[in-house]
Amino acid sequence: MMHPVDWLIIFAYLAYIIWDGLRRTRGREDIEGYFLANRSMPWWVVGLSVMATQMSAITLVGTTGQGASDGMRFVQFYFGLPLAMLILSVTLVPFFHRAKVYTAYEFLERRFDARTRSMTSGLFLLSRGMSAGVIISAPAVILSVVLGLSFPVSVAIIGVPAVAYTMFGGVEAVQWVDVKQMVLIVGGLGALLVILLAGIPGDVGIGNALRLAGETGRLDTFDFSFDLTETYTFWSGVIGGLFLMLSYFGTDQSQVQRYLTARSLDDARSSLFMSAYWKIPLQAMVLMIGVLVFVYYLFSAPPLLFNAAHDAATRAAATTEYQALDLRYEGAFQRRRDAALDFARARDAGDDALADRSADRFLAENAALEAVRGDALGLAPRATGQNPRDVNYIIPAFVLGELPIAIPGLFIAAVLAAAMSSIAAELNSLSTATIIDFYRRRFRPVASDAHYLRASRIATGLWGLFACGVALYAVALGSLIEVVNRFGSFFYGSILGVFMLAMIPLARPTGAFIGLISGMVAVGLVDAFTDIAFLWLNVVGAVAVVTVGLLFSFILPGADGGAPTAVEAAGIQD
Amino acid sequence: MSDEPLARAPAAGRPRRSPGALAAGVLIVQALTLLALWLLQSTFGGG
Repeated sequence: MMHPVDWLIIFAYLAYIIWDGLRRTRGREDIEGYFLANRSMPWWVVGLSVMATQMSAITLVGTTGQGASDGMRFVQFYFGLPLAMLILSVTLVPFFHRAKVYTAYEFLERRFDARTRSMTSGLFLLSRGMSAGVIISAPAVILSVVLGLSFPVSVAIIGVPAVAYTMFGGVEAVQWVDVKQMVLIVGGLGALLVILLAGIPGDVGIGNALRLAGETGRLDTFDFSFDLTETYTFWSGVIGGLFLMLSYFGTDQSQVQRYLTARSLDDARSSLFMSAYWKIPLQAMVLMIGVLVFVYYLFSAPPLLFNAAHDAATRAAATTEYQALDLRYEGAFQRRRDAALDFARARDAGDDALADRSADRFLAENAALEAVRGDALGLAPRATGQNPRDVNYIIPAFVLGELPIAIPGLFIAAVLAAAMSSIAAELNSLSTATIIDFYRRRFRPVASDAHYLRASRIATGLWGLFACGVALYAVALGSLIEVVNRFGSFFYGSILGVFMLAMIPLARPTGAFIGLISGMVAVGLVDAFTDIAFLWLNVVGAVAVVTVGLLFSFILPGADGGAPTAVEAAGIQD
Repeated sequence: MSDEPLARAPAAGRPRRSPGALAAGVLIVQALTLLALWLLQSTFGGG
């Protein structure tokens, strides 16, 4: 149970965010202000907003949990990001900025044709519309368990403030709120790190604690094997991750719109460099927090299952089996703790032989404890019929169960901040693509700014309702959402391929359109008939689009005559 | 305190950041980060 002070922190934070977002409603009279903040934002606001958009609530609870259970290796996923930012800052970003577009896809119409624009924008709306629901539902499920709230209330706590300030305040509200959210998130993570380091038992020390984590492989960051079926390796991160990050930051409207608001090209570039500087260190810190939570539970008994509600349901449904597992777990924990303490004492005494023997004992007992937990994770779904990912509950259980008053409130507020900053960016960009790429382009080309502003607010509100609706029925829609997400992964690299084609003067509109379709088909086939890890699919899609697109641009060069080059499309004067 | 005036400050007159220097900074920071992670792994890692 949370202390009233923690609840007070959460409600004060929610009230502040709503007030702060809504006060920026004033002065919004046109869609350039609503969608692009009149291109007036300084680099550091845009940069923090870019980072807040990418850092979702699942990063806070899921990635830290992954650090606790699997260690640091996930950080390799981000190794391609800095290079992606450098490439984008000299390629797409100057074109978008000078073209003064509202959406990335608008640029594609200027360079190619309306087909390619509508298709890429439509794919964005389809996949991001569904993922907006998941961005709400995933943390709402966790919050409802750890706070004891009903699921619809949890959805409302995340969805209503984000929809309100996005709908009324537009992109400027979203980005200024993101700044505060990001400060809270980083502050919360920093506080957690300090508390965990300070909480390492004095007779163990930080050095020995890290060695114990290292013995279990949790500090093994680099995997240099070139195995295309392995999800996280150095090479999949650097190469596959580079293509994924190029696509995400260069062609996904939820990110492109952040830096389109920058007041100059220089500011737009600098905002991306902020992520290039800080993303990997920040992600390493998130994972290290997880590793230190693992260390914490070496000396303090962890629960058998971290999801308390699922733990209680399992205990009630299969009492005898659960108690037997609990007894084994308790014994394994005591023996592992003793071995860990012996290891630390032996190292401090300089007795290397004893330290080695203690390390072997520690690893054996750690394996025994993890085997019992594996048995419990197998028993729980059989007994209850439910199978929540327990790793997502490790950090919430630790924060709420082990830390003093005010810290749980701060942590939950940070989780809400991460969820809202991501959902707000999604809603804002979904509304922009809907109004600019479809409503104004196809249905109502001429109307007053007041009309478009009203339509934009309505579109934001409707996307918010849609996202909350998807979130509420996410469990029932599970397989559908999975299909859409899977479908989304098919075209991420392909959309990047179209933008790469846009940079190549030889590419022609029909070639680009055929290339886009071919890229998605190629990725679908590779995914269906091979075991290649998903990060590599981005490379497959982009390469297929560029290859087929150029081929058809040669075969059908006259079909659409003199398409403008990217420089001409952006209206750049020499 | 309102932060809006900052947001609306004119772009002109600010010291210009050199993209080359920023890019070099990115590469240096990444190299140092990877080195730190490598040292963490080689100093405390098992096996």
